[in-house]
Formats: sequence, C-alpha cells, structure tokens
Amino acid sequence: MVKGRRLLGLAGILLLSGAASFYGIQAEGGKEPLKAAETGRPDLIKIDTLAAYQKLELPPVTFSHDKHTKALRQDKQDCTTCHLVENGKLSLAYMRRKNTQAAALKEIYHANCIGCHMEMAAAGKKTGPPDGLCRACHNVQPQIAVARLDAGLNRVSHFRHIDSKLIPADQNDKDNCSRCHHEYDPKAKKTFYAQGQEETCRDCHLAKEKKGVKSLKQAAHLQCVLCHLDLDKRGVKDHGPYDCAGCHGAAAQARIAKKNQEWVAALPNKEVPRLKRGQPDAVLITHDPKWGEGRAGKPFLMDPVAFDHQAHEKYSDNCRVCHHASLEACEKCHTLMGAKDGEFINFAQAMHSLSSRASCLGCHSGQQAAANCAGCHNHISKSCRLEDASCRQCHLLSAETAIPGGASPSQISALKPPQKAALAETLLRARNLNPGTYALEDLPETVEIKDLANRFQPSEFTHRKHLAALLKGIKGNTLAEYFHRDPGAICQGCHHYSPPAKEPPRCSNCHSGENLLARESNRPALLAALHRQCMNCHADMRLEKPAATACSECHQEKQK
Amino acid sequence: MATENSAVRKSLYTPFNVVVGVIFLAGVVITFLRFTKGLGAVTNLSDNNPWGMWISFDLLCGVALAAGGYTTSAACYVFGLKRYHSAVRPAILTAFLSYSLVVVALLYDVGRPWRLPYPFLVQAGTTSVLFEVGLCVMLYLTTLFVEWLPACFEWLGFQKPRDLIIRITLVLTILGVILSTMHQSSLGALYLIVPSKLHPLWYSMYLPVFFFVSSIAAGLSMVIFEGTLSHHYLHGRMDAAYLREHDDVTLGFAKGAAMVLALYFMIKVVGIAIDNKWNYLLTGYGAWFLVELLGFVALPAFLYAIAVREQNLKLAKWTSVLTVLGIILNRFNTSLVAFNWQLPPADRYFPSWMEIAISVYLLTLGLLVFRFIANRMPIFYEDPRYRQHVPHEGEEEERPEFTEHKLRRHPQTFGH
Amino acid sequence: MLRRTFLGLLGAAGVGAALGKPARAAGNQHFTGYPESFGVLFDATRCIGCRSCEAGCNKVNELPPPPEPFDDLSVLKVKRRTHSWTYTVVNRYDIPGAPGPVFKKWQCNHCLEPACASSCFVRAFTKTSQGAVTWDGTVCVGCRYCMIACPFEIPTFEFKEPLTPRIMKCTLCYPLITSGKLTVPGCVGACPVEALVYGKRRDLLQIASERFHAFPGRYLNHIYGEHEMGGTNWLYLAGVPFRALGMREDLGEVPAPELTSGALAGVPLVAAAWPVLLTGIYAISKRKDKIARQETAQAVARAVAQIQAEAEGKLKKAMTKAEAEKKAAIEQEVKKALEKAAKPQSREGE
Repeated sequence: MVKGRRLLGLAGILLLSGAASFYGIQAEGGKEPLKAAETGRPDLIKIDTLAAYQKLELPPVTFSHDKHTKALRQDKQDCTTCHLVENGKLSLAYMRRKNTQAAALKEIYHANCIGCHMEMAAAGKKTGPPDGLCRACHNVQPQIAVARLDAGLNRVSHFRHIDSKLIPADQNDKDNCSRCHHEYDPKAKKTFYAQGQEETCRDCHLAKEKKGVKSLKQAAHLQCVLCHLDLDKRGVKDHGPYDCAGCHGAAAQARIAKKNQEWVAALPNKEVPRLKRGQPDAVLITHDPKWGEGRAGKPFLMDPVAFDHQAHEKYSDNCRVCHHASLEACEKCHTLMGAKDGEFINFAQAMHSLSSRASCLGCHSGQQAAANCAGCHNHISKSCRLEDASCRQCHLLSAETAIPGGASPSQISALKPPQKAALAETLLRARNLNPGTYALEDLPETVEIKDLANRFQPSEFTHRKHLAALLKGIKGNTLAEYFHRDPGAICQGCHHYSPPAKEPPRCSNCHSGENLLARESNRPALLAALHRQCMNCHADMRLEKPAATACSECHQEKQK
Repeated sequence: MATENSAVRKSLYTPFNVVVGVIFLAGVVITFLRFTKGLGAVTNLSDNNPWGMWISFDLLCGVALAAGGYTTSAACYVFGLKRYHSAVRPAILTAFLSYSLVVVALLYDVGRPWRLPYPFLVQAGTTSVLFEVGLCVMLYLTTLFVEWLPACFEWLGFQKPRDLIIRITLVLTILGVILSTMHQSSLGALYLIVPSKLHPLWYSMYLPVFFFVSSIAAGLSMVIFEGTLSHHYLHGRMDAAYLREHDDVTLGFAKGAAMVLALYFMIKVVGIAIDNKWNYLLTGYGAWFLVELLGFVALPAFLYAIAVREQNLKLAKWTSVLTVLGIILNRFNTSLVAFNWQLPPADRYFPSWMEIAISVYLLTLGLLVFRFIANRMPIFYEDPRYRQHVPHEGEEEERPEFTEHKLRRHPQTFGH
Repeated sequence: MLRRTFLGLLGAAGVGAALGKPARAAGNQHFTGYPESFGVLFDATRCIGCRSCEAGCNKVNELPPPPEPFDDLSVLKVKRRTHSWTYTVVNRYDIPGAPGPVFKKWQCNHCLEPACASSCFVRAFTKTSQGAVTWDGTVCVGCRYCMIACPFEIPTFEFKEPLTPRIMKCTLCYPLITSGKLTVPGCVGACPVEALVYGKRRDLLQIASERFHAFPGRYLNHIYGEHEMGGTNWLYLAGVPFRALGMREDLGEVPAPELTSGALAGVPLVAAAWPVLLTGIYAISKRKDKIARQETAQAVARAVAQIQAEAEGKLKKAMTKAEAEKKAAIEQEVKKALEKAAKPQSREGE
C-alpha cells in the first residue's frame, strides 16, 4: 500500500528527529547574554525616541557614539555633522532642535544615518550598515551590553579644575568659578554668575528636563564635553575627556582616580585645599526659635549641638553627601513637624535617621562598618534604644556652655548667628579628643579562659595585646577618638551590656553554662558567647588568622 | 518450537531453550545476589533515585499493559459486544500473569518483601496513594485469578465450581473495571506528590486521568499484540470460533484504541494548556515530550484509524506495537526521564544490567507460564462440554447451538 | 437485572459505606502545627562550617564512623547529601559578592505535614506532637515511596542491607530527648557558635524576627521553613538568597498531603459510581439485544405469515381450478358414456 509506505516514512523521520532531540536533551537553549564586565561599552545609546509616540515596530537601535565620533574625527569632522547649532548653542538631539512628529523623526534618523553610511560606502570608507538591512541596526539582542558608570566630579577633580590655568578666571573675579557655576534669571531668561552662591549643578539640573531647565545629562555634556573639545581644538594636550568612555568607562575612571591620587600626593599638604565658598568653620545647631511659638507655655527645647563643619568637609567626597538637596540650612525643609519640601521627614528624623547617609547618625553608623570598627560594632544590636548618655556626646547640656551663669536652650537658640558661631567655636576647642582607657598596668596582660574546658585546654587570651590593637585602630580617627573618650568605652566591645568598669563582670555571670531551650531571645549560652565574640570580631575585622575552624590556634586539644 | 505433543523427541537444546536457559541462570544468580548482598549490589538505585527500572518497567508498564483484561471483559460483558468473546480468556490470562509478575517484581524491589501484606493486615496508611494502589492491585489480582479459574477448572473437570464462577462473570467484570480504574489512575497519582521533581510537561493534576486513559489504549493494543503473537506461535490451540473472530477483534480493538488515543491526545493538550506550559515545549525536554505525544500517541491514533478504514490488519498489528512502545515510553518518561530532571547529569539514574536481566527474566517466566497454560487449558478454544454462559433466571439462551449432553474426558478428542 | 439483585447491591454498598471510618483525608484542612512542638532554628550567618554538628549527631545516634573524620574540612569542596550513615551534612557555598563562604546544615526538616508520612502506605512515619517526624522500623516494608515523596530529598535507605534495610533520617533526637538522655538534639548541643538553637517553634519564629530587627542588613527578611511545604519545624535564616544555598525556593506553600488528597478523594467516588454506571451500561446493552431479538422475531413471524397467506391463496386457487376441471371432466365422461350407451341401442333394432 503506497499510503502505508509514506506513513512509515513519516514515522521514521519523526522517530529520527526524536532520537536526535533525545541526544540533545542537555543542550542549553539560546546563547547566554554576554556579561557587561567582559564586553561592555559605556558609549552605547539606545535610540528609542519613537517609543514615546507609538508602539515600536522594530527593536530600538543600539548606537555606539564613540565609534562614530572617532570615525568622524578621522575624517576631520566634528559634532556639527550630527548636532545642529542654533544661536551658538549645540542641540544635543540628533539633527534636530526638538522632537516634532513621529513620521518626521523617523525620516530624520533614517535619511541622515543611512544617507551618511551610503555616502561613506560610496567613498570607499569603512562604514555602518546600508539601506535595507534593517535589523543590522534594529538589533534585538546586541552582542555587547551597556556598561556605563556614572560620572561626576569629586573633590580632587573639582579642585584640579579650580587650580587649572586652562580655565582662566573672568576679569573681575579672583577665581574661575564663574566659568561653570551660574544662576538663572527667569525674567530675563538668562544665566548670570552670582558670587558666593555657587552650588552643585544637580540642585537645578535634575535627572529629567523640567520647565525649560536642561536635564543634568544635557547640562553636563554641554558644559564639560564642549569645553574639553574646545581645548583640544586649541591644541591643548591635557584637554580632558570628551568621548563617552573617557568619563563613563571603568578603565577611564580608574585612570582618573590614579591621576588624582598622584596629584594630591604632589600637593604641599598632601591634601586638597579647602573649598572657598564662605562656609562656616563651626556651627551651633539649635532649633529654630519660631518653632517654640504658639505652643501655649510648652516651649520646644533642644540642647544645642556644636558641629565642626570645617573638619567634616574633609570626611566627604562632596558637599552633597550632607547638603543633599541644596546648600541651605537643613531646617528650611526638614521642619519640626515635617513639610512637603522635606518629604515629611521632620528635623529630628533628618538628624538621627540611621539609614540615611545624609543624617548625622546615619553617616556615623556607616563609618562603623569599616574593618577597624566592625569587629565590635557589627554585633551591637540596632534594635536597642540608644542610651541617654550617648545623646550627650553631641547635645551639650546648656549648663556646659561657656556662657557664664548658663543659658537655657531657648536663650541659646535666640542668639544671633555670629554669637552662635563663636560659641560653637569655643565649645569645639574645649573638646577633649583623647581616647580614654584605664591604665594598662591595671588591666590583665593575659586572661585564662578555663570555663567549659573539656575537650580542649584552657585558652590563654592575650588581653593587653588585643586592647593595644583596638587602640591602634582608632588612633587618628577623630570620630572614633571622640566617641571613645570615656575610659570604659572601648572595653564595651567585649565587656558589653554592663556599665563600663575597670573590673567588668565575668562572661559566665550572664551567659549560662548550657545551650538549653531557646527562651531568652538572643542571648547565647557561654560556649557560643565565647566563640562568637572572638570569631565574629576576627571575621568582621577581616583577619585571616586565626580562622574560625582552626581550633588549636586558640586552645590546644587535650591529648587523650 | 518443541511442543509436548509431538511424537518425535527433538533435542532440548533449541535456540529458544538455550536463550531461556541463560536468562534463567542469570535470573537465579542475580536473585541470590539480591537477597544476600542487598539492592545496592544489584541495582543502580541510590538515595537520589530510589525507584528504578523494576518500578518503571515491571510495575508501571506491567500494570498498564495488563489492562487488556478489564477492557476486553468490559467490552464483551458490560458493553455487550459478544463478538469479542473469544478474546476475553487470553486477555484475562495475560492480565493475570502480568499482575502476578508485578507482585513477583515487588518481592525483588521492596526492602522487606515478607512485609508486603502489612498495609492490609497490620497498619494501613490510608493517606497514601500507594496504599490504594496496593489494595486495588491485591484485590484485582484476586479477581483476575477468579476470572481465570474457570479455564483451569474446565481443564481439571470441576464443573460445579466452574459454573458457579461463570454465573458471577458480570459481577467480576464490573469489579475488575472498578478496581482497574482506581489503581491505574492511582499509579499516576503516585507522582502528584512531587511537583518539584517531575518535569512540568509530565506533571499535571490530571496525571491519574492520563494514566487511566492511556491504560485503556495500552490494554486494547496489548490484546492485538498478544493475539498476533499467539496466532503465530500457538495457532494449534485455536478453535474455529477464535480464528473466525480474530480479525474482527483486531480491527474492532484498533477502532477503540484509535478513539481512546485521540482522547488521550486531547486531554494531554488540555493538561499543557491549563497550566500554560507551552514555553516548555521549546526546550530539549519539550522536544522529547513532543516525540512521545506526536510519535507515540497521535501517530498510532491516526494509523489505527487508517487501518480500520481500510481493513488493513497488518497496519493495525504494527500500530499496536507502536502503541505498546508508546505506553512503555510514557511510563519510563514519567518515572525515570522527567523524574529528577532538576538533578545534575552525574546524579541521574540508568538501570544496571542486572536490573534489566531480572526484568527480562520475569518477562520470560511470564511467557513460559502463558505458553504452558495456553497449551493445556481452554484459553484459545472453548471446551465444547461446557456451555459458555450459564443463563440467569428468565433469560433466553444466548447460544442455542450448544449441546446439552456432557462427554467424558477424552484427551485425544481435545483441540481442533 | 432483577429487582432483588439491584436491591442487594444497594444494600451491600450501604453497609460498606456505613462500616467505614470518617475519611479524614490529609488535606482540605490546613494543619498549623502542634502548638507546643519543638524545632530548631539554623542561622547561616553564624555557621562557620566546622562540622561539629555532624560529629555530635554521629555520636549520640551511634552511627557508623564516616570515611573521613569530622574535622576534615576538605570534604566541603563537594556538595554532599545525607546517606544512610549520616543524618546530616554541612555544605559550603562560595557566593560571588558575599564576604566569605556561607555554610548550610541540611537534615530532615520535620515538616508540619510531612510528605513522607502522607506517602507511607503502612503509616511508618509519625508526626509527633513534640515536633519530630519519626520512623517506625517495625512496619516499614522498604518500598521507598517516602524517598520519592520528600521534596527536600532527605530519607535515605540502606541499600547495602539485603534483608533488613532501614530508612535512615534525622529524628530530632526524639527517642533521646523523650527518654531524658538529652535536653537538646546532638547537633544543637555540639555547635560551638549556637548557629542552631532548639526551642518551641513559635518561640523560634519570634527569635528570628528579633534577629531581623537587631541586625537589619545582615539577614534576608525571610524565615525558610515558616511556610514552605506547609511549614517545617526546622527553620533557616540566611544573609544570602536561599537558592544560593541549594535550597529550593519553588516548593510553594501547599503541604504535600494536599497534593494527593484530591486524587484519593476520587477513589470512593469511583467505588460508588462505577457499579451503577457499568451495570447501567450492561442493562442498556442487554435491553438493546433483547429488543433486537424481539424485533427480529417479529419480522420473521410477519414474513412467515405473509408467505403462508400467499401460499394458501395460491393453493386455494389451484384447488378451485382443479375442482372445476374435475367436474368438467366428469361431466364430459358422463356425456360420453351416455352417448356410448345410446349408440348400441340403434344397432340392436334391425
């Protein structure tokens, strides 16, 4: 039967294909996308302008900007080949000033991109895809992923710009700040320079363009890239980067960091000079006197905090770490009760929030994660309420102020700014920054830990050596030295949950002998308390020796 | 083949006997090893793969392919399709021997075989699907045994017991269908408890339904297959009625199988659709699933239909082989290939040669017992001394041509 | 069938149904655990991978000595699973981005609604009210369905034992604790850093959330085992995603017994419905046959009657014709005879 033979043939083919797929069962489906770290480029731009108008028919184009600028440069062409200039201003959009209609946009891209490619091809030069190969540009799975790092100026780069002879100051100015920093007059619709009011670009130039104010991306590129290009055109050697990879590439950023390091090392003080923006040296943080108004006999009281602004400037990479929205005083937006401008975060929260880098306590607690500090601080529970004594580290009792006869918080907050500054200065200078510790002779050199000695010999703990190492760790760190002023403070890392004392209680006073039923929430029994205390500190301080599993390094095994 | 009735004494060392002998020897040796050195010495089972070939082939395939018993007897007695009557006894015998071998295989596989009756006698784990499988298999084996007994009694001449059992044929058949429905579907339900270990294409909340429906197709195809083999090797034992009905059985069962396979195909597709598992079809396992579904379910359904339409017996018989292979493939896929699919390849299981040898050994054992019984007992022929159907009160005679008088046993007048 | 047969079947079904116990299928009602049950909380951020827990378990349960000693940490290079000689294993995971290796101790999780207990057809497993899931060796048949069913791949089997193979798995030291020999399981007591704590399950959940509050950023805010597979008595905390520790996050929250209770619920339905259904089909097919036979008989009778009538008609016609012919012949003969008789008279007169 002919039909039968055909059917058998079909069945045979089916079985063969089945056998083949059986063999290939372990075959992975599809290619793995290439990791950005291996072959990522910072200059890849996704052209999906039409997505705002309609559903895209083809995938967005992945455009390599550096490739094109490099090719154009070799061809002795510049930005204006693709970016129009209007009234001396470069438009960052491609071949247009602003977006019009979808069809027009599509035409702009296709006609100009493909047109240029065709021209280049006709001239025999290496160029991009010609007309007709749509998916050569509209590639749904580009081989190379985007690997673009955020760029910006840190303190050192900023100072290199201030210091640079290539950026001369304007006639009437001493410094060259006006070359970049400006304010905007909405009435005159012009920018102007206001000395003493320079702020970070990001305060006005936000992530997206808003009400005619350029987005940060647009502003930064126009300001920085064009200036660097200009320098290059003038033949300056050290002109600064102008292609994408030069600022946004990982390699370039590493190079810049290294260059910055070398530059700082060559400075006379080995540190960047202080920014001259008229910022205060010492600030007395008080509450706004107006907050006490209308509170019917219950004045708002806050003990003042003397804040060393000058010292803190060195601890951060830029002002935005604390002045995260503007250089104005914090309480302008973070009011007593919270306001919309401050996203309803009130003043107390803004100063004390542990999770925000911009808050005092948040930054301090972030510092505790450093290797020198983490050994003790990683194991201090965050859910414990801070003791009142710790508030006193910053909030000075009014009686402690140098005003003769003392002064109430309301009186202090009513002082005029120059008086406050002077008071703050006085208080800061009066601080004792030496870390306190008990006399070393009073403390045991070694401690024999012999509770629970069973399988192992008692452990000889080198007490003084450990203390010396911890003291060495906080030396030179003002924050650590200030907060460890009290003699017993540094001991609290191990001798915890009891008042600081020269002879603290034994571990076994609180940590019971046996690991029994877990009732007491997180207090371990003695074995774990001893082990975890040491092991966790070593691990958090990133010490490789002694390893947690190297039992005999801390206590020898008893020979049977 | 050497038959007992041939006058000339042929040599015992026929190829068939030699092969069987080797298989038996291997079987006995491996049995000894299993019970002296443990499962680990004989199988490739491990803690990651506790069930292997003995469960997949001997239990799952054995039970599925034994479904011919209940399907044939249901077709004949419940649905009243009397023209399949001659296929009932062979199907019952196949099923009975298959289930017996399932139990024997369990004696090998289970850790303490003498405790197999414990779930029913000592402590019942009624939350377990396996309990349900065991209970129904035990009851069904008994039912099949009873359904087979008339043939045995006819051979032994016990008329009264034989007549008694014949009277309750319908009850036994219905009981068989009930028990079969339950345990065929429960074998599928065994895998409901492991959605994390069974590949999504084979795991479905419909697993019990899949196993039940496919068992019907398996049974029908096995009857055709077994009939083909018996026709070839046991032709001498077949009477006129059997031979007359044989082709009708083949084509009729092919028709039924075509429809059941089409139904099975549809519910498998529903199973994929209802959990939206289409994207799995584009993977390697998906390709294998499609091979199973298209090549071993859709294709035989189609081929069966063509065979019936064109009255093509040869095509029907070959398609039955394809279907049987498809059922074996499905059971193997569910229990071995798609099971533990998430484990790395190094931890996957493949049967050891000793496991395969024991399965072959048991299969050979079954074939030999089948041959023994078919050569002696009225399986492929009707003993003319016994009416096939004892009438109920008030019922008319179904086969008026049967004679009333009884002959005395006379060996030479046996057969055809 | 006859009425009395039908009634008999109905009665049998009724008696059968009445004899059964109320079917409390394991499922459809969610079991939230015995309220005072005990469990263990494992904290992966504390574990240092020293394997003391494995040694402790081996010691208190008198298990055979392992191929490598317990202080040999090089075994952590490969991922291990439980086997019949070890109830618990510690595995090491090097996770990119984590400051150091993370260790996980793996053993029976003592689920609230264990798959092993549900799947065992001789009820060899018991979920004790103390929390442990125990195995009874006096009834186990060795079918190993529990090993198939366990989503955590825990129960192990003594494949080397020919006649008395056991299922081996962590017992939460139930026999030792209930007999008073231990207060906490062997592994818990052996851990030098209290990565394991033993207590009431509800207390452990409390302790775990306290740890989340005390050290935010250290833990992933999820207690593994709180809801997985309906909840387990062994709970896990970690600072990295659990799937990075080889723990399955796709098991869902449906307890294992609920996965099969639906199918099992179908069994009595089949047992009840199939007899009626099949008997009905049988009855219908018998009725069809009977009617077919009756109709055949009627058709035959009609045909026979018709033919007979036709034949009779024909016969009658033939008979009448024959009668008439006979009469005519007789008349003819009589006439002839009369004529013959008249003729000789004239010859005699001369």
